This record gives sequence, structure tokens and C-alpha cells, in this order.
Amino acid sequence: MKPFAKEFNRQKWSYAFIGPSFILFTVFLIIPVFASLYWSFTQYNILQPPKFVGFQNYINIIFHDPRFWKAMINTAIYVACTVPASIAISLFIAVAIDQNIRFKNWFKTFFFIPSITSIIAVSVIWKWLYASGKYGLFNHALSSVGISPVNWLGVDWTLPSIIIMSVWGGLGYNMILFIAGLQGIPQVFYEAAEVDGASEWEKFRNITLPLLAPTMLFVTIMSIISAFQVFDAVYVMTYSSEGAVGGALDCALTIVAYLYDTGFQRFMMGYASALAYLIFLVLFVVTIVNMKLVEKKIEY
Amino acid sequence: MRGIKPVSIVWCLFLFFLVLILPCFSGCVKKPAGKEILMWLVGSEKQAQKITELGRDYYKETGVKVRCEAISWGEAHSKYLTSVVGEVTPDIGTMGLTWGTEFGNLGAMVDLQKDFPADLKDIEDSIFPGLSASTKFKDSVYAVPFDVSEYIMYYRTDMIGKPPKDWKELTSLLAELNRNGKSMIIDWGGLGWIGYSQFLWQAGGDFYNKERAAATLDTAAAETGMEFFTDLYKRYGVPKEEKPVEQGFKMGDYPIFISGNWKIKSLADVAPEINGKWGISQLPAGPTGKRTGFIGGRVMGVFSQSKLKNESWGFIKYLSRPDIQLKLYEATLESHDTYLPPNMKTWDILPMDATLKEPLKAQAMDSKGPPSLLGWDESTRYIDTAIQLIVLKGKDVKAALAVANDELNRRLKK
Amino acid sequence: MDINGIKELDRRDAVRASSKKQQQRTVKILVYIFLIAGSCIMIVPFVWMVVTSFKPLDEINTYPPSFFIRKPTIAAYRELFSIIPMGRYFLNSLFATTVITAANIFFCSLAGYAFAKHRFFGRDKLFLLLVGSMMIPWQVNLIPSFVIVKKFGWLNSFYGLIIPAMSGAFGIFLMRQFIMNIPDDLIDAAKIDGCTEFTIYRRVILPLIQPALASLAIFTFMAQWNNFVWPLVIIYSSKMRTIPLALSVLNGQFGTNFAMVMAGAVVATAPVLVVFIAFQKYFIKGIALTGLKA
Repeated sequence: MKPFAKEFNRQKWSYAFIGPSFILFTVFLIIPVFASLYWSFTQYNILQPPKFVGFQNYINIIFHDPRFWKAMINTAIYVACTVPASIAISLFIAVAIDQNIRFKNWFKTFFFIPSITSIIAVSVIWKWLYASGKYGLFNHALSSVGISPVNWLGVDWTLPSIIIMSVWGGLGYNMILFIAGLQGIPQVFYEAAEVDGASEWEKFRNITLPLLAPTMLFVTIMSIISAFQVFDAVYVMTYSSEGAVGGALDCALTIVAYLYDTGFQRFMMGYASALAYLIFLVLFVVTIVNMKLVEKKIEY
Repeated sequence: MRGIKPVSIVWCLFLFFLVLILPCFSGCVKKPAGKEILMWLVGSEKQAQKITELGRDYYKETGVKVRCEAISWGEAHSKYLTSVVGEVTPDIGTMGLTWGTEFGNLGAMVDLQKDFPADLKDIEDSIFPGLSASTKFKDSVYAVPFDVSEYIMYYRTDMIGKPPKDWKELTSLLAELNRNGKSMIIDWGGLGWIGYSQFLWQAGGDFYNKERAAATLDTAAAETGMEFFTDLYKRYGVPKEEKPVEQGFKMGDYPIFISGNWKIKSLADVAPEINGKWGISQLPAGPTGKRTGFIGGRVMGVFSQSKLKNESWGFIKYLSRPDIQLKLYEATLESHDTYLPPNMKTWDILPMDATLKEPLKAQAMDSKGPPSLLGWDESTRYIDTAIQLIVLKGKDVKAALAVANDELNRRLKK
Repeated sequence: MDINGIKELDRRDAVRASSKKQQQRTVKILVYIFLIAGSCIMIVPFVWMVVTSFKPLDEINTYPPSFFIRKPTIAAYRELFSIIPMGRYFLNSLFATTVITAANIFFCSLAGYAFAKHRFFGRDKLFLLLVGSMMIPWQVNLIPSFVIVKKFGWLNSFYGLIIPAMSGAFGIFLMRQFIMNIPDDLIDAAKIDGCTEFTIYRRVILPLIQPALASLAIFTFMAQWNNFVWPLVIIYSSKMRTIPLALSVLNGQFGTNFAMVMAGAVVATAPVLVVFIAFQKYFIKGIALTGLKA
């Protein structure tokens, strides 16, 4: 009887700890999520009551909507490029800043600054960098070293251009997380490794990386989720005066840009919700795989 | 004791928040006493403040207060949507030209044709015909124009001399410019349906037939227009992506461009060096002799949820008066958001330089807006795609138009 | 081994140590070069934003973007403050954001601790639900959340701004990951000492996750301060506006006074920068962790 009572007591604490968060969570997230889940099976223009249509939205999206697949491919390319690049570079920056160097706080601030710069200023500068012909800085630089100019915001290059801009803009965010993670690694491990004569790389490989695994898991999962849902960067770089998002021939249309277009521009909330759940499905599988892989590693 | 205390701290905090919350179940949104109209303006705070000021004069005339609040363009659509769902709409809303029809058809806007037919006729008769056609949807009108934005041609007087009068002159001018590595920019809707629409109309075509029963992009006129429009990109060096228009114009790389009327103000700001060295002109005439351009702007309407429908409509009428539009024009002259009045009578008293006023008015008289029809916004994408396929991927004009035509027809049947 | 042998070994060690020192110096110089170059690339748009806000009308909108001002002026700021009652909006934003940030630090770390170190029925499923909830684009939840807040009667109020944001999946997940790093021995030791769970949380966990709390504070503050869409849909009166709402209407449809928009951006950015710099001092090595588990 006693162990059971003790167990119950411990669980009571746990529920008390997660309680406040979960009440908020249920009211403001779970209920809305179920509402939109229901909408995904309806035809719903927001202003008139939804009409139940079963799996019609899903069927239409998967089998009759080339735009969806175009957006899916673009998004996959975007995720596959930004996530590894951003993680690798920001980890490198974090490790560099975490060395015994001066002006640490300045460097941290500078690298974080893109995250807090007005997106309008960011887009003005990047559009100038990318502008075609002699008007753009990149092309100016390219032509001065004899490389023929690239049509950065043309059909073939818009997506890569957005990827470069996103990686640049997201470095500070991940850097902060990695620095926080690095602070949690006990110094003694490094001291011990130094006694053994380990090189910098060995220390990084054998101490920093494994002990950073929980942070890494977090950064990876969050990066994938947010990259999959990229919208702002696409919006500012491809927004046209007619209100279309995604660039010429949908060259940079991502899945959430498409969702925004269907839900809020074209009043097809049912269809947009179905898109949202397809996004969810993909992300869920990716995340579970991720967690299983990393958590297996943590356990050794 | 020790075991209970911290838990209770957590739960107390919790209760505390609940208590904090409870008084608000009664509802926090209070309506002000007296008659006050709330108007949302898509646009800048400055214009909104000016309208609130004009509302003070209106209050003296009628005893109805007016408050105008600005909402930003990018998110206006979502804001209106949620306000309708939440039953917290303003009394008057201004919005993009085609939104009035969209919201109205879903029952969110008052049908002005039904509720105020006599007044509406007065307003419709006074505004540019192309604009008023775009606000009519079947037998209903959900909104009337608040302002005008129109396409116009800009050219460097010191480099070009006389602006091209028709397509032929345009292409021969461009051929000459091309020889010196120069060209033209089509701004605002380049490589899209807005850019194309004017060449379509100038060629004598249209998107749909008169009855709006079928798309007409498979006609010879549509093809002529498209051929000419896309050739500008393919053969005459019109840039396929966004360019810094003012800069290119100033440097003389693009001594001619087509864009919206707001570039007048922006050229004066950005390129003061070439003040007096450029002019504007009507668009070049197509084979039919028409110089039709695209016209757009914001519209204003009354929301169905409004409790002050008559008063709101009264204020809309007020804002449609020439003397009031003149005040609005003068007040926003120095600011960056241009306001051009939609009422033709206002133009008679508009204190604007004749070299600007004449072409602007002439062009506005010979202009058309987007076809007023449900699902138009969705259909435009297929026209855009056709244009982009022709220019960027070298697709055949006729074939691309045929696909777009089918899609337009399919959406008509829905 | 004879004396000479040992001397020889000492000498070799010294050589190795000095070459290692040399190597470390080179690495350090490379690190500096990398960081300085990187910093320069990072701050370009920010610098442009600040510079532009001090430009007179005839110098803005130049192309290519210019980083110099011939005649600096604060006209844009003056105009900005004359159009927008900045004081009130600043207070609105500050109040809502501070309360949300404080609540998030508390609730998220509490829940994160339970998820990381407690064993309780349904833990993993709940956690999965939590992480899963972030995978649904917020755009589709906007309208249902809006309706719920309306049912509570919280439209146009601080309740509507603050309460739904007081805890979040992101924060709980972040906290859990960092608390997982804390060795169980520490917690067990505290339990043996007779500490209650809440004392453990307060005395053991919180001090050890300061860097993580600092990042959570920075991120929450930043996200909420810049939050635009949610206030946009739930705030209706001009008195209740937050800074991003006020700034969004500086733009006209086609024309914009760029100096003023940038001045607005600078004003909006300043508090985030202050918070960021203020919280940097918490990025310190967890003291209690050094020397443990060695």
C-alpha cells in the first residue's frame, strides 16, 4: 500500500507541474486543432456554415492538385537545404564564441541581430543584393571577377536565393540555443581530455557533440518544423502587387504560402485545413524518426 | 506542512489567474454612447487621420460622429474575415476593388443597389465608367470607389522627345533603344494579368464575353494582344523580373516605363535630378485605336452587421462629394500615399499641373477594371501562368491561351 | 630510465606544449577573423535600418541603398511620434510582453521539469501531443482560437492578448531538453535531504538551467513583442493597439515614407535588443555542474 501511495503522491506533483500549461494548451490549442481537423472534411468559406464532404479535400489535394505537389517539392528542397546548413554553421559559430575569447557578448549580439531586424529592412537589402544586371551587388561582384551574372530572382534562382537569405537570418537563433547548451557541459570533461592529449577536433567529436545531443534534438526538430512552415521569407521576396505569393510559375511556392493563399485569399478554409493536416502528417513522421534516432544515441 | 505548501503555491497562482479571468466573462467590448460610425481604411494612418478630421465637419452637418482607423494592406483580408466571423465588423470598410464582390456575395456587405438605389445612381454616374463597371456584380453593388489608381506611361522627354502613340511607334522606339542597350520596364503587374489586360483591351478583346457566360481568351484579339505583350519581353528586352524602376529611369537605361500613377510622387522624391525631364502620357493605341488602360483602387461599402447603415451610407456619399474629395486630395498631396479622386467632377476643380492632369484624366476615362465576377481572383492565376509559360518557357501563345481559357470557363460554371 | 632519459622526455613535452600553444594561437586568430567577418555580414541590414531612420526626405529611397547620411535629421522620429501615440502603445506592448514572458519562464520550466525527470502516467503521450501541436500551421487555428477568445469575452482586452500565450509547446520542449541534461544524482541527493518536489525545482533545477531560461526569455519576449497577427485580429480599439499594429499602418498601399517606417522599426527593436543584452549575463557555465560526475 505504501509504495502505491508514494507513487500516487509523486504523480500528483507531476500533474500539478504540467497542469497550468495543459489547461491553456487544451483550451487555446487542442480545441482549435480539432475544429480545423473537422473543417478539413468540409467545404467551408468561413462566412457560411461548413458543408461536410468527407475525404474529398484530401483526395483533391493528393490526386488533382499539381500546385500542392509543386509546393511540396519546393518545401522539401527548402527544408533539406536550410536545416543542415543552418545547424552546421550556427553550431560552428556557437563553439567559436564559446572559446576563451574577448568581446563574446558583442559577437553574440551581432550574430543575433538579423533575428530582430525589421523584415522590411532585411528584404530591401537582400533585394538589392540580388537585383539583376548591374543593379545588384552580388552580380556586380560576380562580373568583376569574370563570372556571368546570375538571375537571382528569376524562375530558376528564386528558391535558392530565399534559402540563402533564410540561412543567414536564422543563424543567431540556433546559435543562442547551442550556446545555452554548451554552458551545460561540465568543464571537467574537457580538462580530462586535455590531460589525455586530445586535439580540439577530438574534444569536439567526443565530448561536445554527444553531450549536446538533447539541444541538438531540440534544434533539429524545431528547425525542421519551422522550415517546413516557412512563409515570411517567401512572402517578402515574392509578394506581388496583385496579391499572389510564390513567384512566377510558382517557382518559390511553399506549402504554407499555398495554405495562406487558399485559406485567406480564396476563402477555402476546408481545403486549407486539409493541407495543414497533410503538413502535420509529414512532420509527425519526420519528428518521430528523429527522436527515435537521437534518443537511442543519448542512451548509451 | 512541508509537503503541502509548494503544491498549493502552484494551485493558488492558478486560482489567482482564474479569478483574474472571471470578471471578463461578462464581455469587454463596450460600444460608445451616441451615434458613431467606425470606418476601417486599408492604407496609412495618415490618411485615416485625415478622414477622421473630415468626419468632424460631417459631425457638424449631421450629428453623426466618425472614427476612421487604418489597417494594413497585407493583412486586411484576414482582418475583415475574422471581424465578420467575430461579429465585430466596422460600419464602413474600404478594401481592394474585387473584395467588395467577394464579401458581398457571402452576405457580409449591404447591397447598395437594393437599399439605396437612387443615391447609388448619382454616385455611379459621377465616377469613371471603367471603375463603376467593376463594382457591379450581377444586379448588386456592394461598394463604391474610394479612390483611383491607374496605369500610365512615363518617358524621359530629354531622351525620347515624343511618346509613342501606338504599338507600331512603341516597337520601333524599343528597337532603337535596344540598339543602345536600353529598354522599357513594365512595372506593377508585369508578367501578370494586369499587364496583359491593357494590351488585350487595346487589341479589341476582353477576358469574357458581354454576358459573362464564356471566356474569350481563345479569340484572335486575345491572341494579338498576348503576342504583342509577350514579344515585348521576348524580343524587346523588357526585364522579366523586378527592377528598381526609378533608378533605371534616372540612369537612362530604361527611359520609358509603364506603371501606376503613384510613381509620379515617388519619382519626384527619389530622382529629383531629372525633375522636368520626364513626362507622362496615355498608353499607346492598339490596332483598334483604343488606348485602354487598367484602372483600380479602393472601394468602400457598408457591412451588414452595422447598426448604423443609413448613417454609414451617408458618410460614404459625403466622401464621394467633389469638395470633400478635393480636401482629401490636398491633405495627402505631400504624403507618400497618393490619393486620386474617383469622381469625374472633382477632376474639374483639381489643382494639378495640366501636364499631369490631362493624361491622367484622359487615361482614366479610357480605362477598365478587373471583371466583376466571382472567383476572378482565382482565375487570374491561370492567365499569369499562361503569360509566364510563354515568356519564360517559350510556350506557344495559342496553346497557352487555350489552356487558360478552359480554366476560366471551368471556374465560370462553378 | 636514467636521468638523461627523463630530461629528454621533459624537453619533448615542453616542445609539444609550446607547439600546441602555437597551434591554439593560430586557431584563436582564425576564430577572431571568422567572427568579425561574420558579424559584419550580419549587421548590414540593421545598420541600414538605423541609418535610414535618420535620413532627410531627399536622401531616402536612393538606389543602391546608401549607408551614409549627408544631413542627418530626426524629422522621421518627430513625424512618427506625432502620428502615433507611441507612449500608450509602448506601454501596452511592454505590459503584455513582460507578463507573457514571466509566465512562460515559470510554467514552461515547471512543465519541462515534470516531462524531463518525472515518471507519470501518460507522460510520453502527452509530450508527443505537445510537440505534435507545433506541426500544425498556426494559420488554420487562427479562426477557432479567435472564436474561443471571443466566447470568453476577451476580444480587445489584455486577457485576450496575454492568457492564450502564457505557456507554449516550444518553451516546454526547450526546458525539457535542457533539464534532461541535469544528472539524476543531483535530484536524488536533494530528495535524500528531504526536499519536496517544488524545492527541488526551485533550488536545484532553476539555478542549473539559467542559460536555457535566458534563451527562453529572449525568444518569448522577441516573439511576443513582434507578434502581429494575433493582436491584429483580436484588438479593435486604437487604445489597445500594440507596437507592431501601430507600425503596420505606416505603409501606404504603394508609397511609403521609408525614413519613418525605419524609425518605427528602430523604436520597436530597441526593447528587444535591451532584453537580449540584459539576459546575456545568464549565459554562464552552470557552476554546480563543474566538478560533478568526473
